[in-house]
Amino acid sequence: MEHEYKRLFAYLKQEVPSKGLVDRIIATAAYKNKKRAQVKLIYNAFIFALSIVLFIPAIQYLGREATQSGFFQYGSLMFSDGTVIAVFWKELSLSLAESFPVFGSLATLSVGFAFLFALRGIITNKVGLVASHHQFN
Amino acid sequence: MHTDEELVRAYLSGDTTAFSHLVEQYTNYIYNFVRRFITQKNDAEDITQEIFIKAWKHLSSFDETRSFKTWLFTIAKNTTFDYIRRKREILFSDIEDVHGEYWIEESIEDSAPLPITLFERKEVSEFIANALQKLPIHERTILILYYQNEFTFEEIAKILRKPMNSVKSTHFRALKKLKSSLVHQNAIEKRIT
Repeated sequence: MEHEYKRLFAYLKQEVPSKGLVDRIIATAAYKNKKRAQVKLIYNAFIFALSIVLFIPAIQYLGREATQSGFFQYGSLMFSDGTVIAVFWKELSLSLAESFPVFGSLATLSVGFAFLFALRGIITNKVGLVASHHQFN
Repeated sequence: MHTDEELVRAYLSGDTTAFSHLVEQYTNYIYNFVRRFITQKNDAEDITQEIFIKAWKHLSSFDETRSFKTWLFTIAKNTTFDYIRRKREILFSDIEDVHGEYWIEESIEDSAPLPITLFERKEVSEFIANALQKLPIHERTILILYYQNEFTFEEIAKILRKPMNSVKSTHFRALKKLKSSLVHQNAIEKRIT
């Protein structure tokens, strides 16, 4: 029975789209691709600039937190007297851990990662934009 | 010669021409599928374009273990049905309800072959197209996917997101209606001539 219908459907006329349809689809995709790359580029450029601006206050905050908690003082001990480290290494490690500037480090690392991701995004999308000139051809 | 899935992989890894190959390969199939539901040529072309743009947008989320053709036709079906819903060209219930009432009396025996005179008609293509147009949208979709686009029942079930048994029974029901309509029309026109 199915064979009969397959034969019947073979008679069904195939509609032919306009000649330019394929080109129109490809051109629209290329245009949208370019727009998408542009939006991403602007977004990444903004994050990149913001991360540079925020980097200085993040470093300043890290320094202030490390000074206030005594992290720098404990750290300097490590380089001043080797015998002190050998005797009091446990206490010193504990003090270093306690005085570690957690928030300052987190802030600095976040800004650093944002900078790197934005930079990667800028490079990728810039390449994408250049490629979109030759896209789908 | 690359497979569809290889072309998708190539596009995702930076070969921008791979998408063009996919568009060239499938435009006619997709356009013909859309035309079975949308009578206006311009609208059908716009929908075809929309289907490919949707596919392009979601290409990165395409599961490479699946068939690209099935995936593309799923998008085609959804986009076309959405358009129909928006335009209200047909009743909502026709899209939603697969088990609608029969629109024509079932007077033809299932096992009886199609009349030979049907194949001898000059305008057989128009004849089938008209009969298809009278079928409810889900039944029409299944027949087109199965006989025109050569999908298996399993693939159609994936496209329509329906159980395979339901697809098979709808297919059977659709054939009965199609046959009934063709034989009925054929008999009337024979009587006139």
